[in-house]
Amino acid sequence: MRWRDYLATASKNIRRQTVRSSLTIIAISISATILVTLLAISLGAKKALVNQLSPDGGLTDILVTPNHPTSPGMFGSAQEVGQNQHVLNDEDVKNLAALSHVQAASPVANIWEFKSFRVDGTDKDFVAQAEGVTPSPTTDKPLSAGQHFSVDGKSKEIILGYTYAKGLGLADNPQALIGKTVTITTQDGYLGDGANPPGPGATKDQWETFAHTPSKLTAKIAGITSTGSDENALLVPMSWARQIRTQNISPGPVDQIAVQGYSSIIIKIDNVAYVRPVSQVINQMGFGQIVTLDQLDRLMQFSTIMWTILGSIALVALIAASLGVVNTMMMSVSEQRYMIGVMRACGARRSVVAKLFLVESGLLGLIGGLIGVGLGTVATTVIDQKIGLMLKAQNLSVVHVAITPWWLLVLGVIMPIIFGIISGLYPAYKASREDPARVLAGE
Amino acid sequence: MHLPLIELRSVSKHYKVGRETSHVLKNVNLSVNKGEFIAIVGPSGSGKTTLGQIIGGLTQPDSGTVLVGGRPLDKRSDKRLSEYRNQQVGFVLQQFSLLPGYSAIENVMLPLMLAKVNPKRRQILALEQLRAVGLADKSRQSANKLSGGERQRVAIARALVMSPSILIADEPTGSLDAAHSQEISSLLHQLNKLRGVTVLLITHNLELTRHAGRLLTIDNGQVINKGSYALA
Repeated sequence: MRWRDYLATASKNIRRQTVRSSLTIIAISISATILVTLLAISLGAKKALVNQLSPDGGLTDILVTPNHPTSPGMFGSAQEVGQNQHVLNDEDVKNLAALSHVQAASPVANIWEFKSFRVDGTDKDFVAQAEGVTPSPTTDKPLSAGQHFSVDGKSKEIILGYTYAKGLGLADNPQALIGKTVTITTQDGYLGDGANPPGPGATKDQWETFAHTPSKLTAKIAGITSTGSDENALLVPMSWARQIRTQNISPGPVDQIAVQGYSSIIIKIDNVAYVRPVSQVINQMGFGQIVTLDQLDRLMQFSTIMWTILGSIALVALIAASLGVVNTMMMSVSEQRYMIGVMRACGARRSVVAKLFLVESGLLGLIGGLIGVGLGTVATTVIDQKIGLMLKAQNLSVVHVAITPWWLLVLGVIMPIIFGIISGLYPAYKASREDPARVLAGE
Repeated sequence: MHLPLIELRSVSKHYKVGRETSHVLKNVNLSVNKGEFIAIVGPSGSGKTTLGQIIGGLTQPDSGTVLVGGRPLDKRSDKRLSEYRNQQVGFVLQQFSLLPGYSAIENVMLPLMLAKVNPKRRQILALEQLRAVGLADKSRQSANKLSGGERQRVAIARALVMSPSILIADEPTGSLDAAHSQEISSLLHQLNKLRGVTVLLITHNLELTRHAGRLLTIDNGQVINKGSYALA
């Protein structure tokens, strides 16, 4: 028999048993839908996590911290406070920058002196999570609007996180914020740049009042970060950060960065292959560190576990549907015993009969798989859109939580076919072993 | 020396039904020449159908030899036996043996499909056979919608579509009334005369055997009469 004849005969058999075939196809298509949907979500989640961690080549970054780590966690390493305490200073920046394969070392200083800020002309106040950063063409992340600080970084400019642009309803037009003035409200009793403390002859009451009064600072917006990197930050040039963190008190100013050190140093490795060797050297130097690559590895492990769990659920659904195929095919063989006998009498070999039933079970899988892939694609699109709308409503970055690459669609069709054929093996064997003499004699 | 088309030498066959063994054929010896029309008669359970199935290659004897064209059937593989059934034997069975849901022409095309004949050629050959049995105008009609006599004629067309040398008709009129039975009997006789097909007509209805050149009576698994036949 030709393949075309096998297909035509098998499809005719399927059509003749409409109700039973339809129920079997529904079971297969549900399992294929589950397969496609769960794996699409798993893939989407994996991609979203990777994108979150490795925007703009972030996999070659190491965040060096003052303390030695104790145990690794999912999103960083626990820091052993008080042990191996080290103050990150300019000497450390220089030493780290001199390490082999390190392209640049850029210190970061947290600024605790800011309380909130408001963009002039708007009525929203935001909590200021400010950081002093050193401009560097190597470590600077791409911006969604504006430009980075000039290398001397002396001007009083800030780079605003993209989240704030979204909060002001300018997610689609962050450029509109460039050049605008921001008024920053400091903590009460602020003593840094721009503060106006009482003079040398001030009374205790005057100092008391000052201690409960914030100062106001102004700066221009130079740029807006892009999604995924420093989204919630308010970046300040390090030179200005140093002035902000210097307490102008008697007998003389105290540079808090010099005393407490930088909060971290970002180092950039020239190639992802050298991230771990450099990380080991940094470890030996006694610093703590957060390696994006390690985080990614842990996320990939998590993702693999998720993939396995979701894949197993889909597999169980497929196995359940396959049992339905076995049942359908066994009944088909039982009902078509006389037809098998007639075919054998007309010259059909055992293998022809077996192939006919295998093609029928494979065809059930194919039809179920095609319907399942269609339904799965619709389901993933709906889920993706719904979650996208939810994220947008909460001013969060819209990511695709479900992606359906072409190979997943192919897998969604191939797997039910394979399971269908496997399910048809025993019924096909039974059919091929039917004794035509007994069948045609009416036994 | 003239070689018989079919030769059975000491053929025996038994079936096990539960714990009991039923000896269906016992040391049957038989020779059938090419172009003969033989009627095999006997009561139910006498072994007529099994004899036809052994000659048609549907089942193998437990002992003895079956020679067709001088070559033994029992040594053949499933492939060779299937080819034999497809190309040298045509079966017409009591229960019409048509595939339900298939049209008359699709049923006739079944042996051609198994022989991988080109689809266009299948149509031509099948239609030719349907015309020969007078059903060309009903070729597209579903087998389920044909009358009993028409269905049996379709079965005969299918049995002949591969131009076999042997036609085994096992109770071909068992489900038909007297008029249709005679019609089928005459058709078989006509095919035997015109095409030279060797016909083995298995029946318990002596009325149908009037065209047979030889009558074979079988009872309790043994051939008890191999004589020529003339209806009284």
